[in-house]
This record gives sequence, C-alpha cells and structure tokens, in this order.
Amino acid sequence: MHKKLQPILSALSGRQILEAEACTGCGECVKLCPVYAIEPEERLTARGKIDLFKNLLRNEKPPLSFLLGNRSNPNFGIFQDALWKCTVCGQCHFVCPARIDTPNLWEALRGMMGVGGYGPPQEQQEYLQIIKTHDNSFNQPQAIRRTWLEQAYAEGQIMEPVRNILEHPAPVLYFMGCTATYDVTIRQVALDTINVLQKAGIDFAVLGENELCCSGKMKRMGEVQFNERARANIEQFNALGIKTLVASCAGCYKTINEDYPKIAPLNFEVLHVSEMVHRLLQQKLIAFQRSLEVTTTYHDPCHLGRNCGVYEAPREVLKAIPGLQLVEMERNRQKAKCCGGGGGLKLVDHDLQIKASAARLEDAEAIGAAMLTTPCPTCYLSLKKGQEFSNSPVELQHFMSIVRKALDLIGPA
Amino acid sequence: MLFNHGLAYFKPWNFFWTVQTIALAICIIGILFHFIFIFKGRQRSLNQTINPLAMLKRFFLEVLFQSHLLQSDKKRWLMHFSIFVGFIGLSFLSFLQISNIVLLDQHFNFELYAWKGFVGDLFGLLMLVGLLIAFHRRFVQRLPHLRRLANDKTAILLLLSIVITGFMLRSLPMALAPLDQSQKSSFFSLILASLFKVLIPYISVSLSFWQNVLAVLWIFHSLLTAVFLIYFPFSKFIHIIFTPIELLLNASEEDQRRDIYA
Repeated sequence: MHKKLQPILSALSGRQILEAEACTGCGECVKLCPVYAIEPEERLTARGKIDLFKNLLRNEKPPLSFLLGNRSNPNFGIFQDALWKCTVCGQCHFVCPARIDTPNLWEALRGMMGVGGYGPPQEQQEYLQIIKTHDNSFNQPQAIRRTWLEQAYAEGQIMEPVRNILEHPAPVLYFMGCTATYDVTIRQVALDTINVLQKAGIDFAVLGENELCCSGKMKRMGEVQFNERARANIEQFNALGIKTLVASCAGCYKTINEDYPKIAPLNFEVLHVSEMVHRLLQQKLIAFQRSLEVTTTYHDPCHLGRNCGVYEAPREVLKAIPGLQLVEMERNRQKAKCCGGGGGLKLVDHDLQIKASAARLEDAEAIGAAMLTTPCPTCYLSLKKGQEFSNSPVELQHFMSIVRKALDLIGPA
Repeated sequence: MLFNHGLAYFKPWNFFWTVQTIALAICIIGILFHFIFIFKGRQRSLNQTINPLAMLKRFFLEVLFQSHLLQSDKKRWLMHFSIFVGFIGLSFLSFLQISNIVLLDQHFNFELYAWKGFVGDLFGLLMLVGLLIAFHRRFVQRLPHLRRLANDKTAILLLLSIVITGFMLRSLPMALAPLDQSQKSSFFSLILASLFKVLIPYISVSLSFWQNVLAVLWIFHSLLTAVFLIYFPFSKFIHIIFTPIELLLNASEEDQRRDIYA
C-alpha cells in the first residue's frame, strides 16, 4: 500500500516535505488546538499529524528505507482520520516556533492523500460531489441564485432590485456565496448586505445564476479539482472589469483573496463585507443612527482573522455603533478559538463541531457578554448549533444584522 | 573537549579518527538524502516574490536570537537559546580544532590559547544549563504538552552525556596534574576540578587508576559524539537544519503579517 506514496508526493511542495523535519515536537500546538481541547488525542494535534506524516515518509526516504524496509508500518487509516478531523483553523501556525505553515500543509496533505485514493472521507466526498454537479454546495438549482432576489424585492425585503452584472456592468461585484443564497436561515445576511450597499449608494451588481461556488470547501477538503474550478472563476471575475469584489462569507473571502492569486492574478481588490462596511463608514457614506445598548463580544472567523489578517475592521464598525459596548473574549484575534465549523469537520464529526461552538459560547459567557457576533455565515450557523446544544443565554447575532439595525434599515426586529 | 593537555593518558587517535570519519560520512549522506527527498515535492514552495531583506532580518531575530520564543515563554527561550548557542559554539570550536590538526598539521598550537579554554567552558556551560532546564521540564515538571517518547528522551540524554563527559575530561586532569596555559581560563572546569580534588582521595590515590578512567572516558566521549553524528539526520536533531530554513521561507512569505511578525 505504501508504495503508492512516492508518486503522490508530487502533490506537495518541497517546503511541505521539509516541514515534516522542521517540526521539533515541542507541543506548543497542542495547547491551543480546538479539536484536541475536546478530544485529547495526540494524533489529532499538529504535532501528531506531522509525526504520522513523517512515519509515512520514513518508508520512502533513503537510506533508512533501504535498511529498514517496511518496518515503520505506516497506517494510512489513522493518518487519514487525523488529517480530516481538523478545522484547518491555522492556530497551530501561529504558535509554532518553527512557523510551519500548517493550514496549507494540511490542505496539501489532504490533496496528496486524495490523489492516492486515501480520502477524503465518504461524507466529504458526497458533499464535494454536490458542488461538482450543481456548482453550489446545497444541491439546489443555480436559477435560485437569481429568483430568490427577485422574490425578496417583490416582498419588500430589499430597497431596490439587484442588477445582474453581466447585463449591467458595475464597479462592485457582490459575491453572495452559497450559504447566504441557499440557506434560508442565513439569507438575511445577503439581504442586509444588499440594503447597506444600496443605502450607501454603491454601484454594485451580482452574478445571479452565473455565480459559481468559490470551491473553497474543495480546497479545504483536499479536492484536486479545486485549481480547475478556481481558474474558471478567476477568468469570469477578471473579465467583468470590476474594481472590487465583496464577499459575505469568510470562507469565500479567504478562497478568493488568498487561494486564487496562487493560481492566477486577480485584476480587482477583494473585500470582506465587514471591511466594506468599515470603508463606507470611513467615507461617511453611511452613519449609524440607532443606539444598541448591548454588551457584545466579537468572534474572529479563522478564515477572516488568522488566515487573512482581518481583525480590526469589524471591531471598528462595532465600536462605532452608539450604545454598543464591545468586550473581548480571553482568546481573540490571532488566538481566537475556532468554532469548529471549518475544514469540513462538521461533516466528519458533527458532535465535535457542536462542542467546539459550545465552548466558544462559554468563552462569551465567561466575560459577561450578552451578545456574540461574527461576520461569517458558516461560523454563525455553527455557533447557532452550539447554542442549541448548550442552551447558552448569550444572544447570537450575525454582524450584518447588527449593522442593519444600527443603520435602521428594513429587516426583522 | 577531546584535546586535553596536562595529564598524559591513553588516547587511541586512530580509533577516534576512524569512528568520527565513518560517523561524519553517515551524517552527511543522511542530510543529503533529506535534501534530495525534498525535491520530490513538485508544487510551488513560495507564492510571493522572494524577500531577501525579510529573510535576513528574521535570520538574525528568529534563527540566531530566537526572539519569537522570548516573546512567548522566557524560560523556554533561555533553555533553547542556551542549547543553541552552546551547540553552535562547541561545534565551531571542534571544527577549528580539527582544521588545526588536519589542515595545519598542528604547527599552529591551538591548545595553548587561553581563550579556547574560556569559550569552550562558556559554550559547554550554556549547553549544560539549557539541557538541565529541558531535563527538568520533561522529566521533573512533566509538562503535559511535552511528550515522553524515546526520540525526545534520547536527544536530551545523548547531549547531556556528551557535555558531562566533556566537562569530566576537562576537569579531571586539572585535579590530578599542574595546570597548563589553556586550562587556567577554563573557569567552570576549574570549579569542577576543585570538587574532584576533594573526591579523588576517597576513590583512589593511584594515578594510573585515574589515567585508565580518563582513557575509558575519552573513548566513551568520542563514541558518544560519533553516535550523535550518526543519529543526527535520523532524529529530531535534523530540525537544527530544517527549522531555520522554514523560519526563513515563512519570513519571505508572511513578512507583512503584523499578527505573526509583531
């Protein structure tokens, strides 16, 4: 079985092979790993995964491979399990004294294992197949991306109709993402964003049924077709002549802002919606009118914070809201605890993800926050499940809901 | 620390050179295989333009001074920095001594230089302090995030054995015979020698006994250094080469990230 490893190593970079030996095994990654905190098994830590990877390499690497043969007995099953039971939150990268680029290492290793036929796990394969077949992760027709917005306008949920960028070119593309489009419990995020952009007078449009999944989930889960799909999106975006792309989801933002440029250059800037709102405030295109008397804490989405370095823009927006008192959880910014929703973990181990989210809500409770907010639909949904599990008294609000309320725009109370 | 003057005792140099040459050859081949293996990775390692200035800055700050460890845990920094400086210093000193013997055919008498005794002791002491802290953290404090795997234990115990036998080889002759020029500046070995002077009469007053002890110790020390060289490429010691490379590669990629490089 191990004989298959050598050819699939080409799915990695030289740096990633080197990283196996750069790990000193110091265990700093163990201290803050969100998965290990719930399931304390060494193999689930960054150190454990690197050890398992080293064990695989040992069989292939001369001169020990000549001397020892197959004695190291690599266990692909254990490695596979450990590799996919990870949120790819990147916390280990930030605490690693060797600065091992763990998020990219895990994704590349998942890709390598996939090439060799050792992954992804069945649940993730089914999920990925949906993206490949339907161009969205919700097993829904693409046409819904257009029709639901038309319906929302007809029902008075948005102030003006939203134009399709292919028919009406605009400098700003609002990339809604699959979750804010198809998940009815999270659609309000897209409606709020549209209303804020319209209130600010931004000339923007959407792709409607031509919006394809960013395929970020494919990248996180190690699906090798990611590059091909990303390239198609890059070509489409670059051809639009836009100046700015605004993404709702932290995962989409990370994928387009960080992963796409590694495949081909982008001819526009990428903003997360929280950065866009911050910019609109700075440019005085919007101003908060309503006071929100609430002690709120902010949860940094891993894809937005640690992965892209966006920590302050959403905090600045929250601080600008009259009456809102922003308090910080003990672990914030680059040490923010992961909600467990990333890396496809919730497909592989749903319970673990819910416990990670519940633990994050406990953090909010511990500092006396009445409300917890986050600007990522995926984190929001994960935390919601954690809230239901733990019966946490902390109110959960998406970042855009708070912005909408403070701007006194249309929407639920 | 293998080259002591003063008290004469049996030193099988042929054995030493044979063992060390074989060990060094295995070490170099092992390291080379690592590098060759790295090229099996076909994907791009760096996505940003190489930033030599950032790499140079991080070489001084993180590779040499290990500032990132100092920021996170002062005790850990003291431990790692001491071992690192001591190890590099002693390795460099050994390199100078071997070059002196091999290249200069001992015309340049390196042994007579007083600074050699001082820096040898300084680096040895730094290493000893660092290793004792590591030993304490791993075996006494038993910090929960530290593993107790054979590989981790072996690394500490092997280095400790090399340093302790090295200091014994340096200080025992001082306790048994008059000091030569280089020994006078060996500040830490002199302290150990004064302790040995107290202990020696209780063990044996026979000089030939101590000459035999030193000969055995000398062979044992040279074997330990050979074991270290052979073990180096196949153990966690290899991080001494690859961790600095990783630190520099990451510096080139993420130098603009203030949340990483505060």
